[in-house]
Amino acid sequence: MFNVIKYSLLENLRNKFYLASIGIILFIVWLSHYSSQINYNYGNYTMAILTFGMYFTKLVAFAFIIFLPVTNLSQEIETGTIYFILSKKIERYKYLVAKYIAFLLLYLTLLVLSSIALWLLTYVLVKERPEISFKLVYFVYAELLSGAMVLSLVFFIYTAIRAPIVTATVSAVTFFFSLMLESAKDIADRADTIFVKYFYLFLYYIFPNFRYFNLEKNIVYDKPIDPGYLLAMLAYSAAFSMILLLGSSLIFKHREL
Amino acid sequence: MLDVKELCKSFSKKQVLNKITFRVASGDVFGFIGRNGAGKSTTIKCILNFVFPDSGEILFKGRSTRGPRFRESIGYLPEIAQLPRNLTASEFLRYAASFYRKAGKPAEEDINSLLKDVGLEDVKKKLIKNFSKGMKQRLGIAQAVVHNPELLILDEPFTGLDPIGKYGLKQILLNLNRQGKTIFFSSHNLPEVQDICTVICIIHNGRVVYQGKTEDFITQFDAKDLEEAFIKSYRQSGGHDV
Repeated sequence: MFNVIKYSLLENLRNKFYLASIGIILFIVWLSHYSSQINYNYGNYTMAILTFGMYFTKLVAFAFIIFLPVTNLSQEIETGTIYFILSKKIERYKYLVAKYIAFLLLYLTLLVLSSIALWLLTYVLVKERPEISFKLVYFVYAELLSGAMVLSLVFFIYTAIRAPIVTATVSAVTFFFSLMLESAKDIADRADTIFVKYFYLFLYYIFPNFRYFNLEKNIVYDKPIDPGYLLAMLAYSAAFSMILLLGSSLIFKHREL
Repeated sequence: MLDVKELCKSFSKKQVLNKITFRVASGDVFGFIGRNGAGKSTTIKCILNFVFPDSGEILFKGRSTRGPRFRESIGYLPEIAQLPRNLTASEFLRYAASFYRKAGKPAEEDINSLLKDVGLEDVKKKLIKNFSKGMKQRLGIAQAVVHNPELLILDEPFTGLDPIGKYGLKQILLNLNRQGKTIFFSSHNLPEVQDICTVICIIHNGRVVYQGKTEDFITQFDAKDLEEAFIKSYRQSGGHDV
């Protein structure tokens, strides 16, 4: 399984989409230097740079974690590259899990690169409130966990329907819908009828809640982060990802290629 | 060595394989012949468990082909499959070898010797996306034999190759057969099949219409070569020319 991780990484590190994502993220970080002029944190360089940099890094990384796996997996299956691999001595589920880990590691490299660039910009250049930029490690942690969930969702949908564009669309819609889950909870709490109440509660519990993984305000405004909360995030992400990955492994095992 | 018994498969109610039965003996160069859509690739995909048969049995040395042991003993070259574009030839062979090695890295000299055998030693550090069709096909053969399998399964290996490429590939296959490997390949390039196959199996519309020695088939139809015999057999079994 490690060989699939290693060579998937090697192959995708040369992928134009990956290289373009790095370029875009570094450009955004550079651009964030100017954001203090327009940001509501006017005059506070560190806060402005981190707010702008983290927000747009999230957007690019989110696009990356959906589109690279979808295009890579669909290409491997549709062009028959997968036959070379699965005719070797490897179980299908191991191939899938190895691919999952490889994409997650690539995603991690983007987050780490972005954080290092933001740290350099705030700590080395601005030298204003350096303790905040050290907290970027929490940003990487939270984004990695939410990325793991999005990736497992992409794998699950793709193995189930094998349509790349639908997979990307459904994954993106699920992600954006899940950011509004608190509203679903509010509606459920205030609902008059039992049907409406349980319908919204069902939505609230069945969709992944990506709001749990938003630590940007804590980082920018240097608010304390509870270690118990960090552990709860890990448990939530791990449980969600493992269930979906198990589901996609089972589907993939019984799927004709 | 490989026994396919009464294999049936249908897609969306269309019967693609209808009780396909044949046997590949050890040491054979076995040609699996049929028109496009006759069911050759589906049969191969069933053998490799990429597609699941509706009924029938596939045995390798008397055992099911579902287990990992089968995949240790075979090498496979798919039809028109794209090799990983962003790996170099030697990286791809190391990748292919890594599924079988017990410990440590695969010996660099083994990889180099394999690349030399298929004439790709000079381009081993070149990315596969820059390879020609013939180079990719030779690399495909190299990855199939990297773990020294007993049986090679090749799906349309001559498709898209120019005459020099076909000649080179024929020499590689004959050489592998001389080294003791059993070769099973599907094709509709009949001159190549006639040149190298000792045994052939012909399928029309998902049914086996002949299995036996190549020369016996040509004699049976009183033809000058395999191509003529194949056309006569096809017409006799009720097939249309177009």
